[in-house]
Amino acid sequence: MIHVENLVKRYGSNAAVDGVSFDVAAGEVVGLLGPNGAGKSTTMRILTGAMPPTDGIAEVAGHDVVEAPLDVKSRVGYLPEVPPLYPEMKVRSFLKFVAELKGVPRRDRKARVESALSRCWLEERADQPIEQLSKGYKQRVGLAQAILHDPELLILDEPTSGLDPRQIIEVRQLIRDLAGDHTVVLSSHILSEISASVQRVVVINEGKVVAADSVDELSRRFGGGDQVTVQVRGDADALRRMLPSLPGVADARIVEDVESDVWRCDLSAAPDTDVRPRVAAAVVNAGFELIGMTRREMGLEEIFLRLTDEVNQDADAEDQAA
Amino acid sequence: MRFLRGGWAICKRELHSYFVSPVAYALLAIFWLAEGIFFVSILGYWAAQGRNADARVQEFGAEGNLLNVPAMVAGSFLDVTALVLMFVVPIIAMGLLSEEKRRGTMDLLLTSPVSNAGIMWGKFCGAYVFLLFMLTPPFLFQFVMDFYGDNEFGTFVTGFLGLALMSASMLAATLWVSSITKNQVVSAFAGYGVLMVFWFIDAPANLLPSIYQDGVRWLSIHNHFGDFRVGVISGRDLNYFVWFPAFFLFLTYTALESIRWRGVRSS
Repeated sequence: MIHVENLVKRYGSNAAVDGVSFDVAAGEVVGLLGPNGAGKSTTMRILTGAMPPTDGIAEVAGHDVVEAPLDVKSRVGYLPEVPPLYPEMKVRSFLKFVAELKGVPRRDRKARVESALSRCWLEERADQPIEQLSKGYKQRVGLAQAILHDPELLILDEPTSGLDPRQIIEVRQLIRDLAGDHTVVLSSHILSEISASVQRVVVINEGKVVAADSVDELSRRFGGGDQVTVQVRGDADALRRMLPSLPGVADARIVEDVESDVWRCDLSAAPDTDVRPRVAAAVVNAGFELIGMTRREMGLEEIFLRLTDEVNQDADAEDQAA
Repeated sequence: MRFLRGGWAICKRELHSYFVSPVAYALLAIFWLAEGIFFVSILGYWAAQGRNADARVQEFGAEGNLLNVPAMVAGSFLDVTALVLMFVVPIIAMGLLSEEKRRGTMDLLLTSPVSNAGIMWGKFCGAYVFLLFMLTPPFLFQFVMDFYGDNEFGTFVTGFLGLALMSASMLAATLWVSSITKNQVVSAFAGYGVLMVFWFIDAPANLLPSIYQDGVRWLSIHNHFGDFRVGVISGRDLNYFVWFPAFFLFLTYTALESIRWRGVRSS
């Protein structure tokens, strides 16, 4: 559905996007992830045909965004970071205007508007001026505007930014509903956000793609194995000797004593192994008391920090070498 | 109409937005009130002058001239209206494109299958229809006066045609200003600046070398309005009122092209 190759966008001498390449298959839900200013919005704006790239190729459904902008625009629904709303208009008349603007045939307009209103749970607010709506509702109007002409591809720039937790859940649910019928690309700098909604992540930093993979695959590749925390009552020195020697345990540290004689130990497991049964058996067999054990997968948060740090360190090293 | 794709939808929306905007209502109220006051005082003034002229004719016979009061009223009223329009048009045009950029709705237009000519034309038409609507009551004042004054209607009809053409020119210039700004207030004041330049540009004409004088006089907006005001439609003036807006619409089109190519960054 999307093919991006060596995309470059420069503002003056400053490259906002610097050689980005990725593909998105039809029906996929993909997240663009990166810190603020990484080039996510610019990449998305190029894909919608809102502005041309300085260099490189961007195609939507086989149509080049520069060569065939109208073919691209009829296939893309776009929700910018700030939803493009006319505050003085009522929701329904705004959507009617958008339908006309998007070239929806006259006889289908009414039906499309009503369907967008119902899909975005806006029926009750349909005759209210947009300026009177809460931020969450405005975001829904933004989404309704994006799906109005039934596009194959939805591009949503930070769809949940600035919303309260309840609104975030609603919008996320809405995106999940829409994902069934559309290919979706959404961006975020909040990492937990994106992992809830997407199948695949493209991590962008400083205008470059630093990783592109499924969430699981990324955590496998960059996160190593699971992190296991155990709480054990017993002698610290003996623990310190025993835990690292267990098969499947890559690293073990005693972090602190939680209460008298109870120690919290952080273990890193080797990839693709669940060390919990082994650790539990070993601890109990050695005569310690096992108080608690939790496993956590490495989150996107850490992977992301690790990825962007790596890039920054590389850049620093290059700077020093130069 | 592929060239103007999207223009009609944008025009309708723009026109509609004036009728839900408090600023537009305030402007309408002030404009109509001011026009009404001007009309009544102008009418009062020329009616008094007319009575004086009548009295002189009766006293001195043929040495006094009868005043054509309706023609005098029409002339003064059209002049005043033209000047008032110079202050009204920048306010009508200030938000046309600058607000789209500030609100981020430009993104909606840019990502819709709409041409730059369509955006430009839609904006221009929406605002122009509103301007003509504003000019309707002043037109009716004149009409009613001439209806009871059994005067020929020709003069003031050409006068209003002149006003309509002149306001199209003013609108095109201020639309362009709006296309290169991102703030309504800046747009309005810069619009005044541009209009004043073209209003007063002929003032220093006499000081210039003679070969430039005609050119500079030609550029002045109100010079071309003058003939319409006395009931004359000349090719020279029509020419001006076609080329002046065409030039600024072209500049607007270019500004939109530039926005498309460089990309606006919505705030």
